[in-house]
Amino acid sequence: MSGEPILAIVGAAAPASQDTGTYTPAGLMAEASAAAIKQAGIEKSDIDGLFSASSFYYMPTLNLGEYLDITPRYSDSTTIGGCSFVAHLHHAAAAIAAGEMTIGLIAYGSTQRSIGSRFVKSMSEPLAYEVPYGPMWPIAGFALQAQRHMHEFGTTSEQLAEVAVATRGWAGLNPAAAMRDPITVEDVLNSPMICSPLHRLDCCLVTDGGGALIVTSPERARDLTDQPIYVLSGSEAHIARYVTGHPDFVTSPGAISGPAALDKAGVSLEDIDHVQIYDPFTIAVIIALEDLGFCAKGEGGAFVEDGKTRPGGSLPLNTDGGGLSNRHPGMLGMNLILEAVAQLRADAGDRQVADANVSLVHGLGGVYTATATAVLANKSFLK
Amino acid sequence: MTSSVYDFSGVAPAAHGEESTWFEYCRDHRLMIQHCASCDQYQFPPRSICASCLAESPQWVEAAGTGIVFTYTNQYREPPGFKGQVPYTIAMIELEEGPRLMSRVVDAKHIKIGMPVEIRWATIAEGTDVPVFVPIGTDSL
Ligand SMILES: [Zn+2]
Repeated sequence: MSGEPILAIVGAAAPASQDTGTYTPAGLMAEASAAAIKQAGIEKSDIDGLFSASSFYYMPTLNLGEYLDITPRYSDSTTIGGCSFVAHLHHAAAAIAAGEMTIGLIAYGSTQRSIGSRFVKSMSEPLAYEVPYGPMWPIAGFALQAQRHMHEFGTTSEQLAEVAVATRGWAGLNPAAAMRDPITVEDVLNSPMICSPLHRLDCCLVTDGGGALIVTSPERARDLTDQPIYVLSGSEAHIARYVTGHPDFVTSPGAISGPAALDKAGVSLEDIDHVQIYDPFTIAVIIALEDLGFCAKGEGGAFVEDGKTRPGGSLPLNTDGGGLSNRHPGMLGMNLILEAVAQLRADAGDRQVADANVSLVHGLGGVYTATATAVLANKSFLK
Repeated sequence: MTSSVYDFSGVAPAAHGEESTWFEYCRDHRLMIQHCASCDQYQFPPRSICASCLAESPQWVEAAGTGIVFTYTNQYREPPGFKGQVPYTIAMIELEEGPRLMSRVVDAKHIKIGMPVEIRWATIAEGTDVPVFVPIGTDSL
């Protein structure tokens, strides 16, 4: 039924020092990379492709290459926002298929919490026509989408809050998560309004973090590990740079990249055991569930209302506690992949989803004006 | 420069090229969008080309200055440069001609999506006037 895997992940690691404030973003990238290289059982010199995206470095693969002393023959700093690393997966597959690379390193590091917002200036380039009104980014852009979604479909603040409550439930099962105490819908509604209709607890955390992935062809992976995690497909889309250019404020480009990724993988939503959806704000998850096809457009609020995405529910979603309660280093796409890999390796501890063999990873970028979707699976699924 | 009805502190953008042209029209209190003679499309933000058919030099035309609130948010955190103004309403205004632009809705008894609004002008910094919108009729203060 399913298609052939296009890529294998043979190493996946987070930086051990990600919460200590000890290292620069490049330092965190390198620390995670060293761990992933060791896990993959390869030599640094085996790596001939580098992939990165950053809010700190204008040319992040150059920083990565210098810091690790790697000279790649393939280099990809594609930046489409926080989902960039998800896009890098199918970019890597294409590079391997074209014979331009054999083993790639995808890496990310961020110290946005410990050093504040000293980002590359161009990363936050504002639109001249929006600046005079002082919208706070990115929250105002998501608030405008949430308000429109409520207007068109009757989505409620309680339904948005359920996303935060369910995600906090998963964080409670993750000893590494930043926020683990259970919350209720009332807690979310009683938290301070930031940009209506979004309250403080509708918003993600601001943390440091990062990660690294070693990727190669499925054939090569067989020589390296008994437990490769396969990428069955990847797809990306973007519809605008600024919220002003958003076509309708209720449909994300996930309506393009999501179905395309599922189609390319040859899987249906019934095959999906576990979902990681980029959650900077609660509304993003509701829109994603619609755009991915878990429910019809406009029904995302009602879909989550019964608690089906909580631990023990029928759709395990953001099982690490997500950006809302686990960590959010600014570009969450790497964390989405790391958690999918943990679940597919049955390495997720108390939060392990039983028989998790296929995972859907769905990232966003910009003001939900870009998305990248990938389908990951383990060997059990391909048998 | 014509006198403005509203006077908020705000942030003047670093504008270049077609952006500067648009803000210069704003100094004369003219809300400009663009119209393409080749394909009869209106567009905003202004561009060097028509984003629909790629015709060059789309024409600057003055919008009627009326529209509806397409969506909005009440912002409660004070951004730098907006001292003492929160909460205030940021909205996407859908102009009568079709394009949408970000703006503020002021002097509203309440705010709701779909409410008709019309243009006013606000001075947000020395030499920078920008459009804001007020409700038409009974929704107005
Ligand atoms: Zn045209």
